[in-house]
This record gives sequence, structure tokens and C-alpha cells, in this order.
Amino acid sequence: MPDDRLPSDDLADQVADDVVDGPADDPVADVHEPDDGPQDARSDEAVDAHLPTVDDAVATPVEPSDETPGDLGDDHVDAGDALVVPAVAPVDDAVRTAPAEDVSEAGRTVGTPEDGADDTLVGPDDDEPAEGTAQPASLAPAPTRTGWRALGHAMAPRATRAQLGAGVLCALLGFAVVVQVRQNDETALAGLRQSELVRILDETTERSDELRREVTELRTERDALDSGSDGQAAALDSLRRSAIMQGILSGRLPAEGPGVQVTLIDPAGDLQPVTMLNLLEELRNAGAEAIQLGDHRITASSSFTGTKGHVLVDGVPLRTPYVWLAIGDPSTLSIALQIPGGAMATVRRAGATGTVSERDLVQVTATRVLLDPRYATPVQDEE
Amino acid sequence: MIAVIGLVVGVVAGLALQPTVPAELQPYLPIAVVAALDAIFGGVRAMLDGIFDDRVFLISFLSNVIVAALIVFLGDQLGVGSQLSTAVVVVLGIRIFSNAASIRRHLFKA
Repeated sequence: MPDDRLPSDDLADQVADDVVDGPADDPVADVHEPDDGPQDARSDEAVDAHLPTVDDAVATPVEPSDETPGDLGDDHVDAGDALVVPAVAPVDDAVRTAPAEDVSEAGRTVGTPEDGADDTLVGPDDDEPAEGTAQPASLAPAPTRTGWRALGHAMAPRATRAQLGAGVLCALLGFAVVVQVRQNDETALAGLRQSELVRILDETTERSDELRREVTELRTERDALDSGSDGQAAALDSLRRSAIMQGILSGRLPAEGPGVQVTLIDPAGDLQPVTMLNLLEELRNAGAEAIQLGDHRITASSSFTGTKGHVLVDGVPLRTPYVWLAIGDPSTLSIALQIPGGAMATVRRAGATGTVSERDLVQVTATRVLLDPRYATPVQDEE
Repeated sequence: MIAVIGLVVGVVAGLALQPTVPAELQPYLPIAVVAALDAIFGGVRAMLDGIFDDRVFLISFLSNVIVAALIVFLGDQLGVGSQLSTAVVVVLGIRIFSNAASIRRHLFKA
């Protein structure tokens, strides 16, 4: 009868059974060996019902043992306890229900003739069959009452420590549940994992960038429309400045500013074109912005040709003394020219003499006429 | 009864106070709630088994909550927070089911 109930137990119970089976089986089997069939069957059932042992809360029996030695303290003591019930019952409210069942159960167990000694050992399963499960018909009524009775008993409001403790914990749980549910509703973001948050952040950032770009474009457009004349003036101004800069660089415009004057005296005609080129490169390296040699403006297209003692600039012969004028930072230019092994050293080694003097104001007055490029045309801008 | 009243009081308090969960606790609260649920079910079952003990209940409640939160915290530190919290929820869910089954059998004999 109980046997055929076992298969119908749900999975969790079965699993629990398995867990419990090992330890619980031995004592039970031993104890009930001498008993008759029903007892054995009951022991199975007992093991089945015994599964609560797996649970924390059910581990209880071990706990109270320190308070009341006999009180459910140990599984094996359990039965003994059950018999002692009258004395123990008042001790703890929580346990009160158990002894009640235990009594009946113990009574039953004891009832079997040869059981007297066994009884203490039957303990482990003792309380279980009573409330747990369908028992042989004779036992059925008691368990039926017990489950609900225990519940009703527990529900009865009594200000015991157990009830108050459970109440407080339940309040805590209710509070936490509500808080969590609300939290979940309100801030969906908080529940997201890092990767999702990163994705959302990316999207948001992208969108924000897009909008910012749009703002910039629209603002530019508005400004352009707003101050059309100002814009034109500004553009014109900018173009003018650009033209001046280009003019100076290309040698189209005269220039003045701080710089150096380099005078080379070469009576013997020892200077070669390459020496002059060296000096020019040194000036450019040092940041000279406008350079004049003699009355020639030196630009990117200038060339030194000729032979030793007969130097031509852009095809025009130079005559000693050669006077260089360069606009730039005077000290930088001066130092650059006079470094050991530098331009001036080369000049002296060639047999000429030279002086470098820093000037607060150098006037580069020579200009070049620029021809429109015949072959080169500007590359069209992408935009 | 007091437990049920406590539950109601807690819910009402949560609704009334509308607290915000500190950001650093947010990953742990749901796990802690599930662990507490497990402890509650275990307590009810123990009560029906007649072996309820408030001290064990209190300790199992708190230790369940703390251990569950600790596991998730550890998982977060190890970079497997979501997996571990899933694992914790699964384990606690199984326990809740098994406890519920036991309670059901106590009450309905089925």
C-alpha cells in the first residue's frame, strides 16, 4: 500500500529520498527486521517522509538538544523523547506539535509486542510517517488532521519568540520583495548586465554625437545667413592676409623685420656656388623667412650656378662682397651660421672671410616677379 | 499568523517608504529575496514536520541570504556574476519546489 505510493512521489521527493536513503536505511532496516510486513512497509514510507532532513530548517532537531537534552535533540533520542512527551512538550512552542504526533506514533510503535527495546531506535522515522503520508488505513485519520492542525496551530497568534522571529523575518522578506519589484519596474537599466549597458551607452553616445554635429552645422549655417556681409569682409580680410604671407614667401613683396646680415669678402675668388648654397640652406634651416643676396631675392626657385670664384644667382653673376640679408630670429640665425663646421666655417676654410651681425631691423627690399605657372594647376579640393 | 502579519507589514512598509536600493546592493537584493523565500518555505515545512525551531529558522534565513549574496558577489568579482546568480537561483528554486512539495503532501496528502 505505501509501496505503491512511492512511485507517485514527485521528482523532488524522490531525489530527496535518494539522498536520505543511505543513512536512514540502515537503522530502520535493522530495527524493523523482526517486525511484521506492515512495519517494513512503513519504514520505507518513513524514509520517504524523512526527506525533510535534507532541509536546513528540518535539521532543527540538532539545535534544541543543547537546551533540552531529550527534546528531539538527536534522531536516535527522538523516540525516547516522544515517550517522555508530557515533560518535554511545554518546553518549546515550535516543537509542541511534534510531540503530539510522536506520542501517537510512539504508541503505535510500542504497541507491537516485541518493540519495547526497538523503540528508541525507531526514532528517526518516528514523527515522519505520522504527518507525512498516506499510511495504512488505521493511521490515516491522524495525519490528515495533523498537517492542517499544525498549520492552524501555527497560525494562531501567540506572542512567542518563534512567532515574533518569524514575523520579523517575514516582514523583512516582504519589504525586500516590494523594494525589489519596484526597483525592477522603475530602473530597468539597473538590472542590465554590463555588456547591455555598454551597448546602450554606445547607441546613446552615437545619437548624441549625431545631434551635436547637426547642431554645429545648423549653427554655422545660421551664422552664415545672419552675418553675410560680415562674413564676406572676414573672408576678404583673411584672403588679404594670406596674400601678404604668400607674397613674402614667394618674394613678390618687400619685407622687413629683425634678422642678420652676413657679409662675405672673397678677394681671391675662392667661393664656390655650393658654399653659397650651404649658407642658404643653413639660413632656411634656422627659420629665415625672407632672404636677399646682393640685390637678388632668394626664394624657393633661386639657383646657384657658375664656377669657383664666379658664382651666378639665377644666372646673374655676383660680385664680392657678397651681402646676405635674412629676416628671422637674429640669435637663432647667427648661432646656426657659426656652429663649428657650419656655413661660416666652410667659407673660412675656402679662403674667404665673413662676418655675421645681428640686426633689429633688416630690410629685404628686392622682389621677384612671379610668372603664372604654365604647367602646374592647383589640385581641386575634395570638398 | 504573526508571520503573515509581518509579511503584510513589510509589504506595506515597502510601498509606503519607497526606498531606493543602493547601487552596490542592486545585484544582490533579488538573490537575497529568493534565498529568503527558500528559508521561509523551509520553515513552513519544518513547522509541518513538527520540528520547527525559531533559532534554526533565523539562522538559516540569514545565512541563506548572506551566502547567496556572497556567491553572487564572488561571481561578480570573478566575472561570472550572471552565471553564478543563475546557478544560485536554480538551486534555490529546486529547494523551494521540493519544500513546497513536502508542504503540499502534508496539507493535501498528494
